[in-house]
Amino acid sequence: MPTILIQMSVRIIKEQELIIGPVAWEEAGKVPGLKILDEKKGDIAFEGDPKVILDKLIAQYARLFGRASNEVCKEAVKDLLASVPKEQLPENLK
Amino acid sequence: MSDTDTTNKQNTDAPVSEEHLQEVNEEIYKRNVELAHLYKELARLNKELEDANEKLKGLDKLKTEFLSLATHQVRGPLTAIKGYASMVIDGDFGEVSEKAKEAVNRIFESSNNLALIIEDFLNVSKIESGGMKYEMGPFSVAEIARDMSKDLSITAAKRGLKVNFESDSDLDCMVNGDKEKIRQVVLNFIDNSIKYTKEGTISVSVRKVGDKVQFKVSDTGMGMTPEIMATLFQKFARGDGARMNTTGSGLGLYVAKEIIEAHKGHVSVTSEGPGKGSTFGFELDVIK
Repeated sequence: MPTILIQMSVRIIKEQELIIGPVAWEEAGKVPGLKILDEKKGDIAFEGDPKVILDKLIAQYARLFGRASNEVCKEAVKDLLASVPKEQLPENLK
Repeated sequence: MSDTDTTNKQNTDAPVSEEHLQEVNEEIYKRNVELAHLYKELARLNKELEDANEKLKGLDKLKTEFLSLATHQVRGPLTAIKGYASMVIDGDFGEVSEKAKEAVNRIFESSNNLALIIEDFLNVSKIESGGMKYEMGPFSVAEIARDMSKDLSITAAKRGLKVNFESDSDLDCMVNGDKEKIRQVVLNFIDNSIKYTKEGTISVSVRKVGDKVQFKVSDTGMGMTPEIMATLFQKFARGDGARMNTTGSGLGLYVAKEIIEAHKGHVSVTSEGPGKGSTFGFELDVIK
């Protein structure tokens, strides 16, 4: 399960990168528990509860860019949502 | 400092509220989201176009290869038909009746026409595959045009037509090019005029105009509309050929244009309108 949440996080960061540029990675790096291992390869790691970290990542972008950013995050991972039980999804993706 | 200056200074110095900044930020973000969607759509369409283009290139190559193979295969049997027909006409297989001779003559002429059509197809496949070779050398356009006019005047006379020829001196009309290919173009233009003229005269002229040699064939034939003229040098364009029940591949003028343009010249066609004749021509640079 952690793997799919990491996969979702990478998708979200990359989607945000298309919109706001490299600052997407900078902002992701500020999220507690999210470690960027290789930005070019899109390699990240979580240290802590994946659900919480993913939720904070989405909130990080929403703090700067508002509700529109939440929609972008949901859109980026919509095909993966069905494979995650609802109780394991962060609030911002429900 | 004046009062206005002070006010202006106060306005630009007034701190922008966090709330306002946030609003602007979100607005910019939304515009960026739209841009990102458009970019993705553009990338998708570009990929579709590239894929379609590759497919088309493949099909085009296949078509050219097929054309070349098919026409080469047809050439052999056609040569045999022409050869044997010619021998029968010449009496190589013994005396033949006038009626038989006339019949075999028709076979010979038809196979000749077919050979010309095959030649056109072969030329097109060479042009499209970049395989058309030109043997360059100096020659006189006037000399070629004179010879062709003389040769074709027999065919023209059978249709009750006259072929007139006039030119500047051969020396004035020297160009650098592939003599045989240009001969082909001259033949094509004069032959077309004869084909599409029911009565009157075909006038062939070659002149030096400035630093160009200008070749022209004018006829008193069926003429054409501007719409037909616009498409005449395209592949398979036959003008009103279908209506006139004339034979032809519709490729002769396309091949002629490609040959002249490969020689850095250009082709032309003019007509006053249907029933008012036409003038076909080309221009090439004189040898300096």
